[in-house]
Amino acid sequence: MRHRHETQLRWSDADMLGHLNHARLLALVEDARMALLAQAPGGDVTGGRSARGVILARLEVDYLAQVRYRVDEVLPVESWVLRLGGKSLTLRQELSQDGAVVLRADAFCVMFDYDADASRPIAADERKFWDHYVEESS
Amino acid sequence: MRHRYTCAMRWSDMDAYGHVNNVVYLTYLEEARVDMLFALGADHGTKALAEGVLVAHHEIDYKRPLVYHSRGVDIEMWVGAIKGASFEIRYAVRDDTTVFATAASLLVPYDLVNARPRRVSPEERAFLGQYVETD
Repeated sequence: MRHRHETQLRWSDADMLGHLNHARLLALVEDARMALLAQAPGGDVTGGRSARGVILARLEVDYLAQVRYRVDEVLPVESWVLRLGGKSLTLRQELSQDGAVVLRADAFCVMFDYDADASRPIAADERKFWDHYVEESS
Repeated sequence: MRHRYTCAMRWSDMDAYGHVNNVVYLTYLEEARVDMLFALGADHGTKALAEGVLVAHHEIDYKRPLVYHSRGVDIEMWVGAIKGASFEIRYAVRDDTTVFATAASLLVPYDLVNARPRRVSPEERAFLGQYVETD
C-alpha cells in the first residue's frame, strides 16, 4: 500500500530559473513524510519531540524533471516502505506533476528517542503499521 | 465583501518554539494574494497584476501562536484603500474561532519590462472595489 499526500506549491517556491527550487521540493516530500509519521503509533500531527520519535539520517534525491509553478496547483506525493529494519526504515517517495514522476527520494528514517537522545528499536505496534506500506523495490 | 483563502501549511513552517515562525506568516499572506489577485482576478481583468505587482509596505500584528495543522489556515482579505498607483490589502489570519494575526500590505502595480510603477487600471479598480472596507 502507498501513502498518498497532496502538497500545495507556493509562489515563492519558484526561483530565477522559473522552476521550483530543488531545496524547496524537499519541504514538499517532508510534508508527505510527516503526514505519514503522524498516523503511525505514537505519532502526532505536529511531529513533536517524543520518546517515540523518528529522525532523518539520510536523504537521497533524484530530480527527474523540472517542476513548474502554476497558481493553486496541488501535487501528489506517494510514499511507501522499501526496507523495514530493526531500528530504521527506508521510505521511498515520489512527487508527480502532470502524471509523471518528477522527483524520487529515499529517506532513511531512524526510530529515535528524543528524551534519551538515542536511536531505539521499532516497537511491535509500529512494525505492524509500517508493514502495510512495505513494497519491494522495482 | 471579503475573500477567504485556505492556505496549506508545511511542517517546516514551524520553528524551534513549536509554532509557525513569524516570517512564514508573510508567505501565507503572499499565497493568499496570489489566489485573490492572480487566480481569481485573472477572470476579472486583473491579469496584468500577475505580470508585476510590488510590495511597498507590510505591517503585521501577531495575536496568537499558530501551530501546524493539516487542514491549513484561513486568510481573510479585503481592500483598505485604492489610490492612483497603489492599493492596500488587509488580512486576518484565522480559523473559525481565533484570529492569529492581522496585517496590511501596500501594493504597487509595476511594469517589469520598463521597470517603473504604473497606475491602477479601471478593470483592476472595479475588481478591487468589490472588496473595499473603510475603517
